[in-house]
Amino acid sequence: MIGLPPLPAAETEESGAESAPLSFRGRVWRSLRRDPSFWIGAVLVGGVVLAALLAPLLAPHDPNTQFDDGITTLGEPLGHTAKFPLGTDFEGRDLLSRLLYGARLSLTISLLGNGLAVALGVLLGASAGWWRGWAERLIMRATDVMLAFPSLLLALALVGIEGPSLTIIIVVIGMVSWTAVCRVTYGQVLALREREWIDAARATGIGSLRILLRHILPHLTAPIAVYATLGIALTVVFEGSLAYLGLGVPPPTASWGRMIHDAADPNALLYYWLLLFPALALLLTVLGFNFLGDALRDALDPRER
Amino acid sequence: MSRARTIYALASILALLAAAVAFPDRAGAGVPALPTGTITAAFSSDFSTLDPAIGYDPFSWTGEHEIFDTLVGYTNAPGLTGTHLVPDLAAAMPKISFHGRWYTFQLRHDVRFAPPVNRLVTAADVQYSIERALAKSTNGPMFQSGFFSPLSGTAAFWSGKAKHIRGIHVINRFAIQFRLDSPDLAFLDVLTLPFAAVVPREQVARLGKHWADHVIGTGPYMLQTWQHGRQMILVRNPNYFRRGFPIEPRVVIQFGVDPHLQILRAEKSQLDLPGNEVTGTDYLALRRSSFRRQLYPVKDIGVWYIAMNMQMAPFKGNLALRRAFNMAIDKGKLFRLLNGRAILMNGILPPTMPGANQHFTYYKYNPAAARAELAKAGYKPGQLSLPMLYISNPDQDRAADAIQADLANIGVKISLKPVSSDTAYNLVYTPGKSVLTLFHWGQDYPDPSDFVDPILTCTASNNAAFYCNSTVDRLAAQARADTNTARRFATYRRIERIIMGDAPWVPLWDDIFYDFHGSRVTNFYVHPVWPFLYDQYRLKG
Repeated sequence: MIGLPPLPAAETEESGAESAPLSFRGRVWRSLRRDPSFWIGAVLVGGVVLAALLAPLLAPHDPNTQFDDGITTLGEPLGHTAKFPLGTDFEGRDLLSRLLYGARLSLTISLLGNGLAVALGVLLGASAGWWRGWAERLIMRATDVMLAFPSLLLALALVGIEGPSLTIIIVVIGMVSWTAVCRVTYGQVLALREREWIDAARATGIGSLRILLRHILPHLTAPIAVYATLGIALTVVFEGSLAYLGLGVPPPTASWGRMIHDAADPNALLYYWLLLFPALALLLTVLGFNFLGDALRDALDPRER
Repeated sequence: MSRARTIYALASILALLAAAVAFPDRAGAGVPALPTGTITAAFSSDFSTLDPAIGYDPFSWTGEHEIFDTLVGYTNAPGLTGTHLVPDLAAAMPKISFHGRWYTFQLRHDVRFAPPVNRLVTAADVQYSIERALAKSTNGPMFQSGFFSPLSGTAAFWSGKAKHIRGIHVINRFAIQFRLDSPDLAFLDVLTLPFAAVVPREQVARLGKHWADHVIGTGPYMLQTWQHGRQMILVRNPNYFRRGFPIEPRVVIQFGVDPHLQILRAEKSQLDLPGNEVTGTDYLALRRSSFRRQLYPVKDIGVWYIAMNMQMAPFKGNLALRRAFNMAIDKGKLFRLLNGRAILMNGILPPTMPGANQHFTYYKYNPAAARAELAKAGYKPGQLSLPMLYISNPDQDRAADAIQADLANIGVKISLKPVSSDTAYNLVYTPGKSVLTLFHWGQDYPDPSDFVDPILTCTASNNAAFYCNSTVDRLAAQARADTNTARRFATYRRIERIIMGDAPWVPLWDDIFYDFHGSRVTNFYVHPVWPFLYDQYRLKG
């Protein structure tokens, strides 16, 4: 059985240095450890993940309960009170509880949607790069078309046709976000397929699929990890955009994008908490994933070391 | 690099936010005062048309009402007084004969079309205008419409067998008679609609497809210019037959102005009359401000309701379930969610409608009784799941969420289906398309028949609940023909009770709109049928 082949050229240069006995994983971890971006990102993302996981324990109320004492007699939302620490919305629902449950939705959608996009992108990019020929032409031209088409418009059309639901939104996000990963994968596979150790693998009679899975894909882990992390941030914003345009997950499910959508009003400053907190949650999550992605890219890119 | 970019982006956002807070809108500074003698109004979108045979929306009607007249109209006053029928182009109210089937009008002898037509309006003009509005070739909404179908001979006219409508009979130059197949007192209200407005035949023929951009009528104003999507200018009609009107000689209507911006401009005296109603948060903000005295409440004549489709399961043949829904909705909560901009309703006739029982009640909010009715209907809690269609906007979103929560409280799971109004209208009145709908019906004219015939009879085309009860149909036909007003109103109240007994709807509320006006508009009011009467308003200074 042929083991994991040596790393591609750029990454192998340093492996020969006398003063660096650390393994690849060790070097990556050392780089991450020293990078403040990683720690900021880890704290932010960790916080959001914890909030999402522990939402039922942390949330003071059910996120969909409309409290009679949650609005004034004139139907105005409440600011901070002992019962509602971050205030309430126009329907008398507790904002903190909705934020915490909203984290669940945002993370679910972004992880699954982005996961689908990465899976699609890798599958199509690797297929195009490995088999070339008509598959390459078809897939890469389709990628060009997708890249040229405004993704939000396409997503709006798809959600509009099918009607908004959690599954549809995840599928739509996957369908409009795979192109970048596809291109990166395609480029990498094109380069890798010409290597000697791939020739050697072919010479031993191993099938194409096995070579792709066992010998090429492991080398794509680094760029895919970076794209996936940065992609999550984009997906969180994308879900927010869909919800903002009224095509997110249907009400009353708490979603940060919908909360921002509902609060976006010329008089938003009167009830600033409705806009401020979900926007802040979205901002910090996106920042967190971006910091993580940046740190990961720096750690995995030998030129940055 | 990317880290630097992130920091730069964050800093920029913070700087923008700080600037927005520190330097609020100063757009008003340096803007010249509004011209005297000119009412400046604004709407978020353009009027779709000014052709009275075509326009069928409140915005177009606002413009058309200033330019055209009909044989009869409504008193120029707010509230219920504004729903009283009065003669307009007619010299007096019509003589009703032949068992309530013939309406004979004498026209005023002093009504002339605006320049450049300038000639007297005659009975032949009335006949021409109504036939034009109803003709297939006009391609307007009145072709085969139920509004005018009581007129004798409309079927033959619409099928092309007759050149004229037999029921419109020109007696002489200034007298015209309308003959109906059966008595219908609401026909006088139909004659107030802009579709019955009088237009000059020669001008329509001369301008052809450009007529709508150069309309000429008999109203207080005439159209000077109309730059589509930007601005319309109306000027006083020198031939207008009512002395002293319009009070102000000119109206400038701007289009494409966001409703919130309309309020801001009116606050800064850059606008006299915002044309769009005040939004919920603007209402709350204005109530807190020194401008609250310029807010004007308008009680709509309409109804928001939940229609339960009686041709579809689970509502078909299941009165207990429909009763359960009626008892499950906490309307008091809806009232607060709507910031009090509503009159809660328990029946089908808006309390603002002439003849309505303002204190009508049938079902009361009682979740325990609703659960019992649900069990009687054959459903255990959690067993029934239904989609509810509604047109998405901030008020309806909140109401739909509250309805969903109330029904969840009795064990019915509702999935909300917010849609655009086009989608909703395509689905709601089509059999088998929407089982549960949060919907609205607004008046065409202020008569109870408009809240029964077109929406709750077996042949009604706008029957969202697909409700059909032969007793209701029989009583509605009887009420339509009854010339005794008190008895007629009593019949409609009886119909209301029968319908609520069958429970095809959960009646919810009637809107209270708020309009805002600039400080120099002195005698501002909003008419219950024609929102704005520019010819009646006076400007200070």
